[in-house]
Amino acid sequence: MTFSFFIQVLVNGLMLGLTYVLIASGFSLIYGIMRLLNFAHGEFYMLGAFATYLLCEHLGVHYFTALALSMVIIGFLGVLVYRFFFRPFRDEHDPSLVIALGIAMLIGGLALIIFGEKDKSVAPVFSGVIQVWGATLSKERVAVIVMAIVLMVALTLYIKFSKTGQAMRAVSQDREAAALQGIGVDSTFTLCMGISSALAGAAGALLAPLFYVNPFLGMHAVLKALVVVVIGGLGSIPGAIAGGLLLGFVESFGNTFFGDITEILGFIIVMIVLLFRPQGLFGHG
Amino acid sequence: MDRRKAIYLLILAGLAAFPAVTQDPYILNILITTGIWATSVWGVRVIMSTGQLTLGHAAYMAVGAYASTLLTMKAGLSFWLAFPLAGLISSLVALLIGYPTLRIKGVYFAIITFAFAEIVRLLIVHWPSLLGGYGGIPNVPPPSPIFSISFKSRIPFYYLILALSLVTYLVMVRIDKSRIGRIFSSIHESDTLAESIGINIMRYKVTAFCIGCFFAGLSGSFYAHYFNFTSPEFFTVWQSVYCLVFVIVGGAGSVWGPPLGSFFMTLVPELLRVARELEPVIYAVILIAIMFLLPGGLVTLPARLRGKKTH
Amino acid sequence: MSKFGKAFWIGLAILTMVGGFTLPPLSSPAAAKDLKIGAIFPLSGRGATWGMAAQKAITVKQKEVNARGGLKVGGDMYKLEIIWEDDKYNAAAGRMAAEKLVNRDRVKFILGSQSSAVILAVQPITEPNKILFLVNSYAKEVLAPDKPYTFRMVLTSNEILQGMYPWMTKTYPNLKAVAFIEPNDASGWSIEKDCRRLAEQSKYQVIFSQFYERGTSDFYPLLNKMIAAKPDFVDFSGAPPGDQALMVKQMRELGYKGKTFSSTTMDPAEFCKIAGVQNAEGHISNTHDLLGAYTTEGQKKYYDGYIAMYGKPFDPVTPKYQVYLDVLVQAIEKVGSLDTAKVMEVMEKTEEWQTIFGASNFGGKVHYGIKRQIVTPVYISEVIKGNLVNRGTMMPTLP
Repeated sequence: MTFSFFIQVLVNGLMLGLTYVLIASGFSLIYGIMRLLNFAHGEFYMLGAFATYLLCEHLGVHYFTALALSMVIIGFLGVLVYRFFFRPFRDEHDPSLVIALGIAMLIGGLALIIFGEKDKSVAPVFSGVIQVWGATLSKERVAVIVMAIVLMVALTLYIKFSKTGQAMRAVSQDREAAALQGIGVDSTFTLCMGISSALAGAAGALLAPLFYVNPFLGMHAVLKALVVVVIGGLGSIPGAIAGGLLLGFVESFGNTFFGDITEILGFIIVMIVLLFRPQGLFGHG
Repeated sequence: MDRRKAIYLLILAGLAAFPAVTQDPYILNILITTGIWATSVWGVRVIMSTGQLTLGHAAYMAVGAYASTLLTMKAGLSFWLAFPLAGLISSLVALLIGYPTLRIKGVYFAIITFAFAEIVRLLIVHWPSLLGGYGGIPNVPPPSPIFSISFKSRIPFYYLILALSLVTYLVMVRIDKSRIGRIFSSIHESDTLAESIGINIMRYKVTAFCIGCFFAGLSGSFYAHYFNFTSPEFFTVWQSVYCLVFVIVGGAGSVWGPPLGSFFMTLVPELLRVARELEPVIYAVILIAIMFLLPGGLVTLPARLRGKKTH
Repeated sequence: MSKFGKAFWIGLAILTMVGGFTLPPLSSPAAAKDLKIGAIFPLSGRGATWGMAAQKAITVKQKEVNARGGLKVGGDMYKLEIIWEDDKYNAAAGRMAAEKLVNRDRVKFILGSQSSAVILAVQPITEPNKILFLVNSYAKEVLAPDKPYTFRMVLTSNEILQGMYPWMTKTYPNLKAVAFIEPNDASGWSIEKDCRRLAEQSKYQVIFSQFYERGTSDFYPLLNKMIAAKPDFVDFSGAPPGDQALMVKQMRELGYKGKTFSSTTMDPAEFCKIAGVQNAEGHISNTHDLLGAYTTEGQKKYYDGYIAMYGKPFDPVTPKYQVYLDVLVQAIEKVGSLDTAKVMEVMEKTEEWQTIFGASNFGGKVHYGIKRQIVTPVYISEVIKGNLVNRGTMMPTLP
């Protein structure tokens, strides 16, 4: 195994990891603040990809504009879903679960009818590859890595320093106390849902030119998101980042050195984490 | 006998006499499928009664299905022996997994069950020589003849699942009414409180989990021998999610929730066949609508109609 | 639940059941002379690409048959009615669909699925009831001597590679080492077995074989490992078309210079869009360029029928599914009966069928134990500058 091979494995892990981070961060945010396992999160990811596809391929919009627009559109959609479907059952665990699942099925089913089953693609903005210490990375991927990091930094700063971000953290720690302090729980939830969905949409938009776009992207995404946030800690953004990167590296190394048994490895890690540190690497019990 | 018992016997008589009215295999299949899920989902309910959410129930059905398949096909046991053994094996696995994990609460436990379910599925597919891999195991034999009734037609299956459902129902009612059931719900209400009055909550949680998975195993075994086929595709994580959905839609608060939910959610896709490609969408809409209209589940419909507060 | 509640639900359940068996079946009432055929395909969910392709092709053929008055059985004409059911690429749903078709709609012929699990779950109903089941899928176990009513209407990798691997050895004689990449599912596993066996028969060295988790879109880790093994060509027949295109794109990015190969059909427009035209250059597949060389009268007719119904662009994955209905119609008309035992017999005994691909026959007694696998020509094409270029055609031998 050469040095460049090893670097390639590392770089692959980073790329995979950041992909997962993008998808999982919004999921983690919603659980942390709203205590809801949002099964529909993956569908927002898928819709973000489709929004970008429609804007770029059918309306001729420039990719970066489409990215921004997709985030806004999907964020707005998330707010709508919250307002009409999640809010009535905010405190009821079982119905919330079923409704989130129902929304996921509804969006997925509608997407299939509207967009058809064929794989679509979005033309990439960058072409060509670059070499990093002997490892190859397409320029597209570098762009995605950079933008993912930018998004995550922005998100982390926002949560840490902005007033609404701090309100979210307060609500996530103790909802009643936060309410007593005058923090609008409902508006916090709405904002949370909007940001989280926008993040999912961004993930979809960023990954659309890299891979392909079809109505089935959501199911797989939400399961991965679940694994990531469990490892990293439900409700923690640094946790989602750590969990995503960890999963990315595990999969990269696992697939390279152990083959497809890696699939089981991910879940075993989940179980171990949950047994010994259920709040995840970064979560707070 | 009192009114209630009379009504129950009437229901039982009706169900038992049903094949005399129609032998349409399609309808019988719907009822049999309902029975299989009801049995399994009653198990989910008993687990939920201690406040634990399980996202891996289908894995225990899989354990039962594969155990029973291997016992009959490879070890040459009769179905009638393999069937209860399958349930026991499932609950044994539940014990092994439950013991270290049930101390974890809430959504974390649910995710452990989900992770375990995926591990089970992956083990099944990565052991093709024994467990058939992705293609599954075809030609699973039907139950061997008993009391000179052979299982060639659907009707004996119907009576078997009716008997199984009845037994499961009686067990569940007994649990609900007994001291164990009361302890389960006290743990659900507040396990710290229950612990403070001296209840060993782990023991009861594990018991509930094992009971629930026992019935999962039985229903899985029945499934395999009824469909003559077992496959990892029958027992995916989405199937586990559906188990939960059936309970919640039916109403976790009542022992009639699981059969109601199972029946409704088996019937609806059949009725929606006319909708063709709109079926997944309409199914989703119905699911959401039920939660909005009847958050306590279908069991609360009559009470709601009479204007009572149910939630 | 209260007494009233229970009585309510029991009453409702009884009403539903009474309604259920007194109301007519869910499909539309049969016209004077209608032949109902069932079809179980993935029309939603993961496999929808294949299911919809099959639906399009079969519908084109159905329209053609009905336009000439229908199916001629003895002295009667039967209009074809196809009852489509969605198996969602899932064995349980497929089984429920079959229950409905067999026990409710009482069809005697079922066209079906691309999922081996669905077929294996449905066969316990169709075989005892002597329902003729015309299937797809890749698993070998689908065809067996104890399942005489199941026929496979599309080639599997076993038959296709018999033609394609020898062609590769002749056309590209300096390729020696092959790598396999397949998804972790029933088809992937079946195909890998066939690929391995036939590659070794063609004296190829299998230097790499790995399965990937379904849903993967980033293949860099796997491809990194594969490229290090230095294969001369990569065969990823079992992967769905989108995944194949992604793999090609990504392996070219990583610097792979060898040949890419698949024994399945692909849509070159879609493939090149996802993979990138330059990356797809030289890709070998089992796709028939329907308007290029080797085009027959029947193929032109099918193409026109497709465009008339669905407009452009034409989907090159569809033609092989037309064969399902085509051979069934011919068999029924030949034997002049709707008795499935007789139709089954004529399908087995007839030595040659004329399909849009030319002469075809059923074979497989040696490999499958029963003569139920259709043998149609294998077309080999290469992608050159984004277009399909026909490279050859051959008939597999399947004793």
